[in-house]
Amino acid sequence: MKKIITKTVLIALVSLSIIACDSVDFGDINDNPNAPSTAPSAGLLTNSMVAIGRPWTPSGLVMSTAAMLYSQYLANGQYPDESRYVDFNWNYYTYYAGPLRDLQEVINVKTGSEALDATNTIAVATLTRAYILHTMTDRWGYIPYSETLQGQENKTPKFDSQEDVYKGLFNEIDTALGMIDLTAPSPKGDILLNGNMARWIQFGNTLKAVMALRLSKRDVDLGGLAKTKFNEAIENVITTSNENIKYTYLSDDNNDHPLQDRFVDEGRKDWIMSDVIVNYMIGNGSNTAPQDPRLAKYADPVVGTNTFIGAEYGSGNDLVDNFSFITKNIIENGTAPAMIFTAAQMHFSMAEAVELGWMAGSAQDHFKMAIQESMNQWGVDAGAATAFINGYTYNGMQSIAEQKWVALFMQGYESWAEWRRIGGPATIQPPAIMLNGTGVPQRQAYPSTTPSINKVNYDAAVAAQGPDDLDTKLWWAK
Amino acid sequence: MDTKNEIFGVLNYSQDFNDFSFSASTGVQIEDRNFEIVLDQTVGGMTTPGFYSIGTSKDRPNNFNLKVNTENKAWFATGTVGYKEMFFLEGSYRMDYSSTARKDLNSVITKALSGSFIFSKLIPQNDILSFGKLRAGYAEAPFFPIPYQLSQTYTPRNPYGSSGTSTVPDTGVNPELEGGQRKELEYGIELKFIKNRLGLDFTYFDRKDEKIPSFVTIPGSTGITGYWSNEGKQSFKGFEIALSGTPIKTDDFSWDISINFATLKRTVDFIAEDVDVNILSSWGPQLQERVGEEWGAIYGNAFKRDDKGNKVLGDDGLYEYERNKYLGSILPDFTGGASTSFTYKNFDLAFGFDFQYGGKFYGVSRRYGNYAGLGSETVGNNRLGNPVRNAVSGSGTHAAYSVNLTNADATSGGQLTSGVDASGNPQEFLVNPFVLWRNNLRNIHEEYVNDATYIKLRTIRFGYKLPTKFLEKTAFSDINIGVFANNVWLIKSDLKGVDPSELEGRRAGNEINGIKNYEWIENGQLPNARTIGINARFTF
Repeated sequence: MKKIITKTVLIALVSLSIIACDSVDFGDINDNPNAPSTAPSAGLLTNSMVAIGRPWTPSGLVMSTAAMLYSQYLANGQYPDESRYVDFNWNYYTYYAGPLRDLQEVINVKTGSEALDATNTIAVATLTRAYILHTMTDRWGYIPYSETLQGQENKTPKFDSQEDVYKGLFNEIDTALGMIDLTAPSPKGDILLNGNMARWIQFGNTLKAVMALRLSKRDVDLGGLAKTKFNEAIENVITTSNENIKYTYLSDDNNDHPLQDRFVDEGRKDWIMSDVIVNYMIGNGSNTAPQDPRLAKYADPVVGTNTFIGAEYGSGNDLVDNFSFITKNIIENGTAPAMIFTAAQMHFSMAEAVELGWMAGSAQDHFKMAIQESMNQWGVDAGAATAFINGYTYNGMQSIAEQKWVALFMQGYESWAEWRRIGGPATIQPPAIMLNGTGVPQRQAYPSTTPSINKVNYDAAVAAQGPDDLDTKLWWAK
Repeated sequence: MDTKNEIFGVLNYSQDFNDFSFSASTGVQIEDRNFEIVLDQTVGGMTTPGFYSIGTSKDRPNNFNLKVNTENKAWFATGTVGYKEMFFLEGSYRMDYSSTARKDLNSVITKALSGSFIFSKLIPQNDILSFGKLRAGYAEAPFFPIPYQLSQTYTPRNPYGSSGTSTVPDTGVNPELEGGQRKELEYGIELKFIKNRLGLDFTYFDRKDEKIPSFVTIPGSTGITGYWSNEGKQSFKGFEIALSGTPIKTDDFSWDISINFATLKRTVDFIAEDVDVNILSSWGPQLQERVGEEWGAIYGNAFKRDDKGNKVLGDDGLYEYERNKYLGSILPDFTGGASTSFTYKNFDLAFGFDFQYGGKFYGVSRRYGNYAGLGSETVGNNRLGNPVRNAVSGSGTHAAYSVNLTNADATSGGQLTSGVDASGNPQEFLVNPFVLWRNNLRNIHEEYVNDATYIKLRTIRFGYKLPTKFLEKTAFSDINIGVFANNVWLIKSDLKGVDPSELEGRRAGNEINGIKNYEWIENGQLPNARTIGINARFTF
């Protein structure tokens, strides 16, 4: 019996050693050893910028095959579903929980910080954020904006009207531009413009001008806001093609061009040049000598020939090798850049602004400069460029719409947005078979979980904007 | 690398006093778990043909390290009192601590109390009731969070050139996260009749999950896609019945049979503040839980129907559909099993069955099979007697792929679709099966939500027991040699060729609410193998 008592006491003592009411001290065992606990501002900024160029859908912003199909630059090979709008719901959560959250963290870290690069870092993060959100509102229309990125504090962010998103973004851009200090150190981790703050002034103004012009049909409703914003920005936008703002892909396989991955690494031939753009650029030339000299830069002739042949948009084109592909300089070149903003685009914008009566000058001169900058961008030789420009009869807005569409080749989302606003060649027509919608898409539908997990706000957005499908026209397109 | 160190100490005590028996124990348990993974991956291929090494990666290789360390401590005490081997009362008290819960509140106390009463001891010996026992019990079990959910960290990602990249994880942190409990109340009765020839065991349970760390999905526009929460509450109720009997028993022959049923009703009482719907799993359709409803609902695209339930066809003869509709619950009405065995002299033959009634699952084999034109439903003759794959012909706006049956040529191919038009008038079309399956039905999840009801003969075994005389000089007391087969016969299932009891579509990493892996998708898996073999059992 005595033995038992001794043992009992011993066990009881061991037990007591770990009893401490509600908790036991485990030290720092639950501190995650796999990731740092302090926010690395530079790494977060870089990551949010890499997201702009990252493959693949739905994240791809500057390199999206879906958007290039909407614009009918491309056609599908054997599998035509993508060109028939198979994708309905597009997940934007990857932007909020990804780059936008990372940028918010950068802004939080630098707000109130005495670091010398604080204001410039906040400005760069804000401009990057504005660029991403602008691309988003042009895809979905109403988007969560004013109540976002608060984690568990607000589990059901409301959808803001596109008008409010645009106005909010104008404010953000203006604030950011006001913060830029050319004498202060630039942010670390800026892989987009390498810390060149003068370039960020161009970036902010170019973005602002693009956004302002997008509201051309709403300028009167907005009391001239679009015109005002456009004119505030236009003096400082990019104007020559060597100023083009681009996303640079690197040679290593983690960071190289997404199309190079598809065509070379994976050997896929799922995208070919569409008949819409090839025939438009052949124009009154021939399929061996197209009217537009850029076609030979955009695309390669059919293998073994010198003819350019586009594949029927919306069809299954099984014999892909009978058609022209995007130039090898892109699909077989891992370091081909992707354009974010181009000088050509901005000259078209200025031509349109003159046509709209927003600014003084000659619309036709800007139109010609736009094509010239586009030719420069693609490395067309001067003589051929001049011949094309001089041979082109300028016909006001229709010419701007058509030639801007040509010049925005590969800039899928921007091109699709402009087509929805000002149109393009009449040959852009919906395919015979559509898996969703009743025409070329006007928007993308919200993530499929949204009606369940954010129902009240989703219903309000649908009630205000129109059905959550591909056909509902956005506010600025009406 | 996965290592676990455990210290377990227990002290037992037992003593009888007259008609009473006592036993008690107390102990401690300390557990330290370390898990480590190093994953390296070449990028852009390798540079040295035939030589496999991370060192030959063309571009900078990807490197991934994961270390997980958790520690648990617990102490406990249990006690049992028995009276005349007729009444038993057992109680326990246990306190668990985990390193994964918030530092100032990392314990969970769990208690249990159960009693049983063998009332047949009070009844005089008889030929009818040979054994009777009542039992009731209450038990709690602790559940702790997964590690590293309390404080913010920043995940390093692949570098861009020489610039490092980091991201804020998609899962939000919750500094308040602690452990929770499953509480279960259970009542049961166990009866045996006619010299144990017939037995009945009935159990009713009422279970509540409280504060168990569960993942809550919230809109990504919050900046996170979800977080672990203690707020959830769920209730489980059900009963289990087991019947067993020996209908025939002679010196040479006996027949034993047993069968059991179980039901489960699982209700979602609370998810989290401001959260009424939680996405548990998503793959085309979604598996959801909604407050106040039965857990485990499938939501997705459903046929558009009129007030009378007729499918609505568009003017091109294709089925119209609506999104985000309730398509059924994955929970069955009941599940069960049965086994029976026959013994004749030294031979024995046993069968094992299992079954489920009700519950749904989403299956893609048929979806993709018909999409690709490999399914048998995409061939055959249509009502006009023409092969469905022949060209559709007739008049109408969509005659390229679809004609109204009344406008179809006598030679038209195409597959029949039937339903009503927008105003409710019945109509039938012949539609090109390629367009029907590939462009239309593919999008309608309801078409591929199947009833999970099945009956299956899972096992058969035929055995022979060696006569004892052969064993006299050996060390064995019994040797039985047999032939067996597993996965023998799917007697009934809704979807031909798919076995609802073997779904494995979403198994990987898809533990839902930290508790059980519910299968709800058939993802084109291979039919599971039937095994036939021989075995021998040696008993010493």
